Amino acid sequence: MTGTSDDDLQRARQRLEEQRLVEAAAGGSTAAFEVLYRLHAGRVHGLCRRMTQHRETAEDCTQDTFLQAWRALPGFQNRSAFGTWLHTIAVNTVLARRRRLAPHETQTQSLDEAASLIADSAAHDPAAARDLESAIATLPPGARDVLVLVAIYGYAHEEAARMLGIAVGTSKAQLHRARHLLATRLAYEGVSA
Amino acid sequence: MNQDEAAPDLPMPNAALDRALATLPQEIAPQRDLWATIAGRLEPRPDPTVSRRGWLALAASVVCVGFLLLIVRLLQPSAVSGVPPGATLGSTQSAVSPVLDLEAAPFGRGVVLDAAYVQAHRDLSAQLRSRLPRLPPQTRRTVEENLAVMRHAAMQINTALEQQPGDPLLEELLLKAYQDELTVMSTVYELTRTDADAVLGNRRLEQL
Repeated sequence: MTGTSDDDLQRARQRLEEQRLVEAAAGGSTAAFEVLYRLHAGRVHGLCRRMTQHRETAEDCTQDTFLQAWRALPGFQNRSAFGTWLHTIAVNTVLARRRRLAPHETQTQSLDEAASLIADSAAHDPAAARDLESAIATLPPGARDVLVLVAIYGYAHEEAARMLGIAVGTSKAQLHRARHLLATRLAYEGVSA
Repeated sequence: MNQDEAAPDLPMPNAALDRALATLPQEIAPQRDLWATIAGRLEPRPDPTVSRRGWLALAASVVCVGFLLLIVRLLQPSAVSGVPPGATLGSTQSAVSPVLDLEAAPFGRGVVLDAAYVQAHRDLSAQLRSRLPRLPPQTRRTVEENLAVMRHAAMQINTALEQQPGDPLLEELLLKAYQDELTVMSTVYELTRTDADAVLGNRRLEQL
């Protein structure tokens, strides 16, 4: 009980500190914005990396996300968490880039890319994570997007659907499809979580 | 989240797969520090200028409307300063209430607007407020309802823009909502320049 309260207090402090940083950055402080970048770059880049399955594209999207966030910060109203707001921008950035590029440019570099992705991350079980990331990389983009947002980043279907511009039912169907494909490709009986 | 029912046809249970997915790290640091590039591309805050080309175009249109109002004021000072004798002020004031607060900011919180633009809009709103009582109650009510709908739409679009910053469709819709509002305001103003104009214009206003 006490531990939970301490955690809540800690989270509240962090959120308050982040709110101050957001306000300062909205007022034009690049120093405050750099702190926000340091706090959130990993999660934003992780999302971009998994959605694009391409290292350089993910870095470009991460940069664009923070640049757009800088421009839009004066209008940020703290109605959602800053991290969620950043993720929304990141998803829009990736989707816009995907629409601009030709299909062959958006094809994943599955195995090599997944391997490098794991090398860049701090996976607890690198071997299992590599298998899983490799399988995720082979998913169709629509199913992969939902899987990444819901299953890895913990968004509700309503949030994921809003971010992706799809219906909630579509989000659920895509997740079901993604799970089925993943399970089939992993032949998961022999892999422990 | 993620409470979908397990699909029996899967070769592995959903719960096990979900646990495995949940162990994947959410953070993946970029291989190089992107901050230097980002910092070099950060634009100075556009305060207090309008941040988008669309807003600049909108501001230009307001300046045009403001200029038109100035000309009208110079040519017909009595028509602007108040309700002339014989107007239907008494009947409309009692029939329509409360008067729409035209000074209330119709702009969303997420939009940075030029101060001159805001002033021009305020002036136009003030002029419109002086003209609205000349309209028949039903026409006036229609105009007020239309303006309220447009402003509500603008606020909703702004709220959506907070969630979807940079969304080009939403920005276009917002610009359109502002333009529609200005069109109604300037149309009402023009059509109520004189009583005779107001009578003729009421027919057109009914179609707004």
